[in-house]
Amino acid sequence: MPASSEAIFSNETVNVHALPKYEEAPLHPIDGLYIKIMFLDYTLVFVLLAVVIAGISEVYKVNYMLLAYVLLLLMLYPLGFFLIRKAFYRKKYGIREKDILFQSGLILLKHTIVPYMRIQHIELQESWLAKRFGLAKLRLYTTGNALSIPGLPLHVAQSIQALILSSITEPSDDGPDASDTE
Amino acid sequence: MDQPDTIDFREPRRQSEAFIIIECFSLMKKRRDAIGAMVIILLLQLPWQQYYLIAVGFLVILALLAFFVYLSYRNTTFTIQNNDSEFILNKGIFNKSKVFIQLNKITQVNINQHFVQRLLEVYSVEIETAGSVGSEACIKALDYKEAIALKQVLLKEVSSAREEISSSPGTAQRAKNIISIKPSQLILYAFTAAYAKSFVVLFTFLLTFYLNYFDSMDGYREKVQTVAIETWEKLSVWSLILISFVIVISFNVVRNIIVYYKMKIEPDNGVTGIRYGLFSRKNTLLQNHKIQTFRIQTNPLQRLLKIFKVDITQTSLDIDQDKKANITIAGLNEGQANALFNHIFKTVLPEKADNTIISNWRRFILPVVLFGIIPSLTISWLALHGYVSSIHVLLFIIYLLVFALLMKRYYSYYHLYISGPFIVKEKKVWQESYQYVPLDNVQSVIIEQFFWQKALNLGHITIRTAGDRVVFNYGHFEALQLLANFLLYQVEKGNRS
Repeated sequence: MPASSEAIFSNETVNVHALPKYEEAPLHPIDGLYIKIMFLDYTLVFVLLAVVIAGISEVYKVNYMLLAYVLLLLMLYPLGFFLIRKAFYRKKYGIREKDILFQSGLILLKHTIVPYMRIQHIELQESWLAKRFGLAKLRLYTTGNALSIPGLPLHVAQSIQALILSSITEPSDDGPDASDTE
Repeated sequence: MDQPDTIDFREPRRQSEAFIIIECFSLMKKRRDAIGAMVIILLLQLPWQQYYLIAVGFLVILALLAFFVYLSYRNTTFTIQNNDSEFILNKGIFNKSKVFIQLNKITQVNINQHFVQRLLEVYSVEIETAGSVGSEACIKALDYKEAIALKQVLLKEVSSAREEISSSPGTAQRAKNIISIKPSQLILYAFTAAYAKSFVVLFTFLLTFYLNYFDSMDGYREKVQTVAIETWEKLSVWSLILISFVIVISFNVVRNIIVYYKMKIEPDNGVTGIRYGLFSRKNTLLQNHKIQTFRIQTNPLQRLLKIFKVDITQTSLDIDQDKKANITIAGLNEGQANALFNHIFKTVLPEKADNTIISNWRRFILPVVLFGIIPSLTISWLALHGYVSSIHVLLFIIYLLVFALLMKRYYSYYHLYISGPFIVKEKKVWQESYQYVPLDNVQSVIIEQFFWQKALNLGHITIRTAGDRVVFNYGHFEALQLLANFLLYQVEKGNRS
């Protein structure tokens, strides 16, 4: 693709401030039912932890371990719910004409932006749990990386998938290499 | 001389017969421990009159092995089919398998020659794609002409007989472009490269050993007075430093020379051939358009000597594991590094832009606390309780000075900017690194911010390519947002036309 670099060389100066801003794109919250999945996942982890700790205290006959664990559970479990609730409201996605962006993260707020034309293929995942809520997860694969957007209602996920697929295939009609020659 | 492209790969082809010897040898080599152990046991058990049995047994095993290897040789064929778009390798004796590789998925074709192969004058051809770690298909014995022809067909480079440069005088122009790294350059590189990590590890190890020795010797030192112990006790910390230094340097010099000996870079139309190695020559062909990032590294010593190292990453599916996608070229001089860059990206090395993003001083809180303040506090505490000798304090002060100087340098040189069609990340601690990523290669952009950074207006950016990624931390948040928007614009406007 040597030609493309020349194309950028002959570029006019771009007013960077006038470019479309990703941070101003309207963001949509993911489906409200997804918080239940997050809660269930969280509870599952807690139960597993409970089993492990109970097992350890059984094997080593430490009774105060059990007590400490009960205290820990009582204190941490509701706090986790509170944090998960906050984290859930941070999960948002935005769809622009040429790229898709996903926001997440409670402590570290993260925006991932993937241009459609870099997407290699899309996977629509329905886990057994999410299926019961009518939810799906989109995984967008670029070369070497993937972005997943969870908690989308199935029909929304399907329409996003269709939108992206159509915008990937459209320009390739005039040849993917044509873009380089301008 | 035949043209290499006269070989027709559409017909299924076999490898050279030398395969039988090579495969037998490599199978034996794989089992050399078992064979060696068996021979030793037999030597001990048998009376010497029956030693000939060992030779007989060995020959029988060898014959059996050769028979199976022969079958495998008969059954291994390779061909290129479907309008020259697919490479197919058939193999297996009882369990037959077929490997299909799309030619356009091939990232790399390596032609190697190990010791036995060199004796038999054959080469192995390894085909690698971005899909998985390790080579997808390996053909172990082809003669030179066939190997080169196959490589060219696989990489659709039938036109040029680049490898024949030495034998044909008509390609003088090409010969001029070859970048070859002189052994003197490589040795200079090897001596000046940064081995700080291995040095510190070795020094710590020796120091611990030394101190433990004194602790344990305290009791019965008078009893055991040998020359060796006297010498050992005369060793000071300084000589320990010297010893670790010498060991680390010599080990790395030898390693570098073995790996990168006589590296030759042969630029051609759209591809770059690289050959290197002392005992076994590696031969790699890169496709320029699959190269994702280009990183030039040096350090103040090497800058004085005008010696550089270049790291190239290519398209790969799993960046963290896939080390084969990275190629290191050590010991280039300035002109050679520029020429290589010029050949790969068809443009000159970008100048430093005025408009760079710099990072905030808060970036240094963590390293300064971890490597400056905590060690200082520990040492002071130990000193107060009388555990520390003056030599330790001296060493520590030297360490702190070096650390402060490096941090100062790190602070002044950590930049991210766009220059021409490239994103450039500049970073200098001791090692200076310049990472160049063509704007076209951006795959996705990630902007991150910790919640306490919102008021400070700071953030982090990660620019992903299909090869390496560019990470820049603690930048001005709005500047990073502008950069992200600009990168997205560059990627997405290309799609319009």
